[in-house]
Amino acid sequence: MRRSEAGSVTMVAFVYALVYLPIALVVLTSFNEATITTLPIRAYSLKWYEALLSNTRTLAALRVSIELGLLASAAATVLGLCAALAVTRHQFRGRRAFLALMTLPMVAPGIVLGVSLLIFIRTLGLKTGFAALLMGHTLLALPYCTFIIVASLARFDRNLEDAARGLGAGEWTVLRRVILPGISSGLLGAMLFGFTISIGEFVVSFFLTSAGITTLPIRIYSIVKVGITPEINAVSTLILAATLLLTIAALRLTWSQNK
Amino acid sequence: MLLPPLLTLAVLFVLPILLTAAYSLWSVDNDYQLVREPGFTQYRIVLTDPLYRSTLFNSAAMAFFTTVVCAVIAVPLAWALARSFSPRMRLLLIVGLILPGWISVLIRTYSMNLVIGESGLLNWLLLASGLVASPLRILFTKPAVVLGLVYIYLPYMLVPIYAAIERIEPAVLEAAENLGASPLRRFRRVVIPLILPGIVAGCIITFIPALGEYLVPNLLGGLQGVMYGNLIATAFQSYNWPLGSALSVVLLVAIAVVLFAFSRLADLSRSLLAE
Repeated sequence: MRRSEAGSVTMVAFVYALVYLPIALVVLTSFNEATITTLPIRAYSLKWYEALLSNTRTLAALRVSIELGLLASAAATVLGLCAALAVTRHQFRGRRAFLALMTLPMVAPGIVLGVSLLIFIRTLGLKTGFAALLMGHTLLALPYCTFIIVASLARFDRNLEDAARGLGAGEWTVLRRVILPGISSGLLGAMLFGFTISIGEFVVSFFLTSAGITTLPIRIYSIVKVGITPEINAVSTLILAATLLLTIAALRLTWSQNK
Repeated sequence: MLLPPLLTLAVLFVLPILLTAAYSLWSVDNDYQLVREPGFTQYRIVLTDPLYRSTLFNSAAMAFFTTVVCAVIAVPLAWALARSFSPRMRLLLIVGLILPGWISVLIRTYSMNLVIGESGLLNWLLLASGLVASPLRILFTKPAVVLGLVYIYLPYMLVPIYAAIERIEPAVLEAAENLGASPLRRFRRVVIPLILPGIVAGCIITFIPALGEYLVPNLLGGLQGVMYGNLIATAFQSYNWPLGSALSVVLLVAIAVVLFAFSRLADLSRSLLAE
């Protein structure tokens, strides 16, 4: 190994250590028998995970987060598919403007999106809660889903579509029997990414939750504000594991189509 | 096909922002009842009150430091990744660095607490080794906020810079080497100019969300490290929606100015480097 390579390896290892250290502490201290969330750990135990199972408020928040994640990612994937088909298969005036508009929710600060949606909901005379959260999460996931599906469609062989049309298939048949099966892994990947965005989202949910309907990150926040507990580290560890698995699955799906 | 997503964006994004702009022109009376008489009262408050002005300035400074620290870490890191590992290993390593970016920002932010908090890992190590007599107070300061922001936004900076480095033709570097340029000189005179668009892109997508950040200063900043996003939240929580709306509009305008300035800067630097 050359000297410069040793330096590179050291640098990468150092950044890796820094990036994973805080997360590792969350995981590690969730298994701490004692109530303190710091090292050293004298005895390991699963008691905080057991405590979690009987914490009805946290479980209720988990349920909301999962339902919200499924619905928002499904909605964003369907809307993203429409947007992606429009921009990849049709030339129309304002195409670039549409794509720019699509990127704006990714760039705008979450807090502005949160308060403006709150104003919107109240102006309509509606209450905050599940429907409001669903609107917010769909908006947040939409750009990501759209761009993943755009990439997927761009890689899809257009000749297959033309062949189907040449054989007399109508547009709807081409979409349903040729395009959708061809980009199915991209669609599933988009939905998984949408789900991870929804399940981890904080600041927009912060303004759209109601007293009865709370997402898991908001529930964790309300506890962490008072003090970090091993039980909350146990919740976070479960979310961490789920997010990492889902993201890896989504990455594999969106890449597998590459080959 | 275009209609459903376009309508979604119009109704859930454009319309709410316009409503926010409308609210920013109204005001509330002493009983926090909305007074629908257009005027610039809220903007006068936002732009003249020293608290709002200094917080906006402070937030910009913290977001700027965050951007600089992220760039200083990401450029050599991306270079090390691209130069010293096999393509397969490289891909795994870069994914490993981006992966935490998908974990809930809330969990990542409060996990910093376990490292720099009063009874966190850092203080435990320092106390155990006898380097300090009492725990250091790092949490609830401005540096703690910048540290947290760097932790959250490093992947944002890394991705465009790494992508730019991947696109460099190896032949260009070989040519510089054959012409006798030292590694450092090659890096400064060949690599940096080539990846400059990537660095600019990374700076933009790091600075903008960092400027409007709410959660990180809320959990790590305490009273010292208040950022502009906290003021918006406070205004809404205290039922002064017109004030909060005006603060939001000012933030959006500030972001638009930054985007414009960066794009001009990119043009400027490109034209200078082409000399």
